[in-house]
Amino acid sequence: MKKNILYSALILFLTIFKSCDVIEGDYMIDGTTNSVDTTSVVKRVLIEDFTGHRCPNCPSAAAELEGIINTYGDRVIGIAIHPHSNFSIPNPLSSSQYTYDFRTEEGDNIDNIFQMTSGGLPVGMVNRIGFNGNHQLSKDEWGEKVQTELEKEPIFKINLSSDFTTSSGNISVEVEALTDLNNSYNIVVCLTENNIIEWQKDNNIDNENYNHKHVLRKMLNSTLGESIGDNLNSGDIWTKSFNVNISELENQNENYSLNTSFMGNGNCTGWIEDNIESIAYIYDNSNYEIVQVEKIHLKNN
Amino acid sequence: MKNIFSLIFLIFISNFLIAQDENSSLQIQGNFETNLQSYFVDSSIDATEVPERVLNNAYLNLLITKGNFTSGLRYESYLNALKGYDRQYQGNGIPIRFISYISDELEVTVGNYYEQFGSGLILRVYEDKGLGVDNALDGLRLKYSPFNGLHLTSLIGKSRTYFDYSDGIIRGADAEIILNEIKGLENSKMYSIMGASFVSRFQSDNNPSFILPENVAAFAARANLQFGNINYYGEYAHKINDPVGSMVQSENNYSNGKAIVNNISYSQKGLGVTFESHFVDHMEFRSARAKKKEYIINYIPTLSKQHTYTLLSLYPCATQPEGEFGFNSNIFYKIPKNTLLGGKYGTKLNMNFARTNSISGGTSFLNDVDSLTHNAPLFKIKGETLYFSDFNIEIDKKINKIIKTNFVLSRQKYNKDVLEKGYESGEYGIITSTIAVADISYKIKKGHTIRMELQTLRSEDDPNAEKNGDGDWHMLLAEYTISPNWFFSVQDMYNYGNYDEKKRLHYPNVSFGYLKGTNRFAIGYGKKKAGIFCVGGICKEVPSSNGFNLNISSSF
Repeated sequence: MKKNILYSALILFLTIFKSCDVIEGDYMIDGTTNSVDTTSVVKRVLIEDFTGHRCPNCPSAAAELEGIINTYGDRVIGIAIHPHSNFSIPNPLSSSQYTYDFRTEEGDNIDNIFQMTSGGLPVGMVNRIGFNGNHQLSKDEWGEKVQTELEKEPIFKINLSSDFTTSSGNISVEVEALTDLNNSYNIVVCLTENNIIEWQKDNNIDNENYNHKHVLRKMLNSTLGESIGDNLNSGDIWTKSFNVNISELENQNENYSLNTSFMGNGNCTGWIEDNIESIAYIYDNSNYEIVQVEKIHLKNN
Repeated sequence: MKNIFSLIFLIFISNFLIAQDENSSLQIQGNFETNLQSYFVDSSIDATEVPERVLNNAYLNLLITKGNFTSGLRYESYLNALKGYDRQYQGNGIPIRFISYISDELEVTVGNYYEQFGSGLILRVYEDKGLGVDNALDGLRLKYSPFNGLHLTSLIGKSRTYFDYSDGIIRGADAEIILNEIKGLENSKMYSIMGASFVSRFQSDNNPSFILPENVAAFAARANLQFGNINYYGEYAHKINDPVGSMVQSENNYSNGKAIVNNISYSQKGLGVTFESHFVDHMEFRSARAKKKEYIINYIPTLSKQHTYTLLSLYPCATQPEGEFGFNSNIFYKIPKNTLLGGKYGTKLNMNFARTNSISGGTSFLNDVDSLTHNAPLFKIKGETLYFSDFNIEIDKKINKIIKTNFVLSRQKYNKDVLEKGYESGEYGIITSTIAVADISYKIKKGHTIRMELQTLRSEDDPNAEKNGDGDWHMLLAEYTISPNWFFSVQDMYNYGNYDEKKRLHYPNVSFGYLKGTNRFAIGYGKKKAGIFCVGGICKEVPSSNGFNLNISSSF
């Protein structure tokens, strides 16, 4: 009997190791913004935040994205995608609220591929890792995935430059492979806009002056982009220049809103060039994983 | 690859068991189920089609037993998952496989297992196909009973999320003493069970901005005392700081969680009285830090009657593990046979009253910002937001050998904003409904029974809310059973009182089925309304649909 009790105590003991970490403030670590060594190539991480202007919990995800960007500086780049869902349908223009149509053709295409809205918003992807099955991340998971991604070595260097002044110009993209690579890779070049002041449901408040950041406006070379080659060797360079004409792009979005989107009202123009950024990201064709990303202001000069 | 390993594993185990030269025979058991559903566009109810046209969920459980050995697996197939199930259930696989054996007082399980400590406040590992919940642990579990009356369980594992695991490692232990099984105490008048449990989750901290606990523990202690006609069950659970791991300060809550459960019941012949209550505060325990429903590994029992009639469960109570206080009370009484009201067979009555409300000031909160810090006081009703209440009376009366009846009258209050969205948005507020149900079954002749359900729901909206609810409903169901092989059923839900005239729609459903032995076939067609489906206070949203469904189940 005694032996039995001894055994049972042992079993219990084995499970109750040091398994209780009570933290007693301060909970926040001071001064944690990561400084970036600009002399060497760094790995950057893309967070795609799937959101909607009528989604009451989405501002908390936008705040999470800003919190991560504050922590990691320019090593983290965000895109806010407003895919078609009940949360993004605009009101008719006669309404006084929520009349802006944030949806884009490419945003809807991405949602179709990654099924992001199927489980409800907000939701996001960090470098699209975990596809297919574990790529849909709640906002609380973004930070830890970013940290893991940042620890990976960069395999590409992206140089972006822009000669855009007003209404049109060119974005030049130069990609350099930093190591020998076996897989095939695609590049996507897109435009996002910051500081769009429009309606947003924020918990139970209808906020008329919400600052929408990182809003996806257009992909310049389609949803899935174009190939930069396969079996690349270290030092291989790929370059291309993309013409940007804001009013043409606005028209394309307007057409999509009016002719394709459910209840689209065409109210998706009024882009402010000073607030537009261009983002380029490279992904692995075998698993969609984004391996490098870079951004510049459209009016860089 | 995982599946190939699972198959090799099973073949190996089968051979091993067959090779065992013992007297006990080899038993193979299992069951199979498939659910196929087609989806048509029906803009009137916002039903959409799917690119696949039809979707199918299927699974097969296999259990092999020989003497003290048990081994089993479950094959699951989602091609693709039915609407209302997460799309991460996709493809085929063998997510569940295990071996278990009992040697004297020790039971060893390796692989997947399900487990519950006490009422589940700190650990409930279970699966419910209807809800799409399966948080099975994969690892090892030991159960040990060193002497009569003492039962020890210890476990370690990772929790299933769809076809993968969540990041955390779960460790747990439970000890239960049944005093009346201990030598010398068998004849004690009081029957008592005492228990204590401990669960801890490990997940590494790589957050550069916040200090996160890597080992988050929860403890619980419980007692079940039975003395004469009175039965008491009490449990207290405590969880240490468990922030979600956000980069935003106001999202990281370092407060402790707690839950207090008190249930008491009295029963004698023909009369039963029960009273259950709980207070819960910040008590959602997950297999990983992030707030996601698929990570939840504990359970707060719901405090409401589990209705089976459709309109009674149109607005079901969903438990709020992050904060609620409530109670659920029942009186069961059987009017004796051969009395004026009891008639020849007696009459069963059940009166039920359940109510849950918010906890004062919301979930307890703690972080560096003093202005956000808050400690919710225990047991407060006055001035709190109502989440759910249900007062109902059920009368179950067998009139004669041919006619059986059951009547329910209920008045429910349902805080649609909190119970469906988790916070007070003011959108719908509290929807009040009065529901009446009459269920009459009539035996035509031997083996032939017809059953009718007449249900009606009158709805009152919250005068302070921005939006209207769905308004009033009627429902009619007729079911014809030819036992033991056939059943036919027709039902219609009619939303005649919707505030929007275009939505005053019928939701008809027809189905018929054939049963033989352990096989069951059912085919149906119908329109389903978007709504909330709950089992024991755990709920999921179900989208509207229009289409055919085929269900086949069998066991062997």
